[in-house]
Amino acid sequence: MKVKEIMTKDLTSVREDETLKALIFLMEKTSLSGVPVTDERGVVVGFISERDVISAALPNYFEMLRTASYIPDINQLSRRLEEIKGDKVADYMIKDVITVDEDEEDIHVADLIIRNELNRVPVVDKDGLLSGVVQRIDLLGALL
Amino acid sequence: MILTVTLNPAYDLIYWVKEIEQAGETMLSRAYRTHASAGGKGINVSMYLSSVGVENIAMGLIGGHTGRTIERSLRDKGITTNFTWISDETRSNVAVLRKGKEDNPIEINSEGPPISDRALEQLIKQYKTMLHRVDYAVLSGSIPPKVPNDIYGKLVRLAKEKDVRTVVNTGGDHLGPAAEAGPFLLKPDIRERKKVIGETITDSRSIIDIAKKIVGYGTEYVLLSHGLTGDILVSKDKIWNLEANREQLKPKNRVGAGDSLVGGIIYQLLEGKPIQEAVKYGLAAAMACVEIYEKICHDTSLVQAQLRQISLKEMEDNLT
Repeated sequence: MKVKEIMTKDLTSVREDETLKALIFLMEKTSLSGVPVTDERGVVVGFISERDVISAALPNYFEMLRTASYIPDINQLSRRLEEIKGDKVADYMIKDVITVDEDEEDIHVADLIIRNELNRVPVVDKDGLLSGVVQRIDLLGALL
Repeated sequence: MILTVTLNPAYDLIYWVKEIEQAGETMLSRAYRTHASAGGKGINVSMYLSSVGVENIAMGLIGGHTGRTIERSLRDKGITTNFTWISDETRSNVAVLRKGKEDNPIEINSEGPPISDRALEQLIKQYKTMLHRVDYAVLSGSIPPKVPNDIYGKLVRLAKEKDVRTVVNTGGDHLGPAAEAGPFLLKPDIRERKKVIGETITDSRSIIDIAKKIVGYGTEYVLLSHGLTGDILVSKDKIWNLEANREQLKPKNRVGAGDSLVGGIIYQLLEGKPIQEAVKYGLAAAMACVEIYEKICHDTSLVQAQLRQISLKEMEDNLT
């Protein structure tokens, strides 16, 4: 099956110049854990997830320790979020984003998702414009 | 690709009842049939287009559980979604259709949640992005509280900058600014008020007068419906009258019929049909929808059957 036959036709995304506060609002309302980042034409230029925001809000040593138990209190995280809420999405997004063409076969996107431990992969049309996303559940649904 | 914009979406609840009766202190009735679906004029157009296989993107302002239900329902129909999320809950609208009086529904429409400047800015940003990939933008329905009256005018002007044709279907105070922006097709919604751009509709002649005035602002075509089975289409130099036999129509549900009309027009324009033929098809699609319980008629044979009984005549323009 082609990717366009199984993808979720949803263009929910953020622009590079959007603030982290606006991003958090969007993710909270949509219950999405990550969204594609697009330019003003809708070309996919990145991807940002709640994990990227949490990493940005935590002290630098968090990545090394892989645990939050060294954070003295939750207020520290809150204060840091307050500090960065006006920062641009572009500052924290993954620029080297993995996308898949809508005419690709589903096996290709399955491979991408498994190898890169992804939850969602943005789908692009021939012009590089966002045309949907493939989620793990889309693949499982298609397999049933 | 088609874009539909619904600024004030709704979850439509339709109840068919035998009659509403006084039961003690309460007006009570048991519905013998119900229908619930995503709604709002632009969304209805999206659902129609999807039913005939036309790729389209639905955008607008949604929020809460109702917003999620609407979004999910559209995706399940194969419609691409790109909504702007708001803090408040999207509204629900109720229509009650009494047996034998189905063409006079009781409709209770909520005002809708207030929209912040921030949410509106976000919607316009998303709209501008979508204009890069669409041929038509359908701007339909009421506007929620706190949205400026000239919003449709602004959206039309932005579309024209990108050479995207606009179809506007709305009524009330925001119709005037939309007309002045010069959309491709304007269909004034006269369900609530028989007044359009300050002029009162009294008969077919007044419809033509008003339509001519709107065309004078730069709108290419104005489409005004009179009843369920008639439309008048006016351009700069032509007037067409479309008429079907009202007696033969057996209404079951007229909610969303005007949106099937708009959807049918766009579907036929994309097929390369001239505007007057596209409107004729749109009217047939609307009439087919009126005769079924569901909001959107998926059966094209029913549309074809209606099409055969619609007359299309070019009228003499002796008013100019």
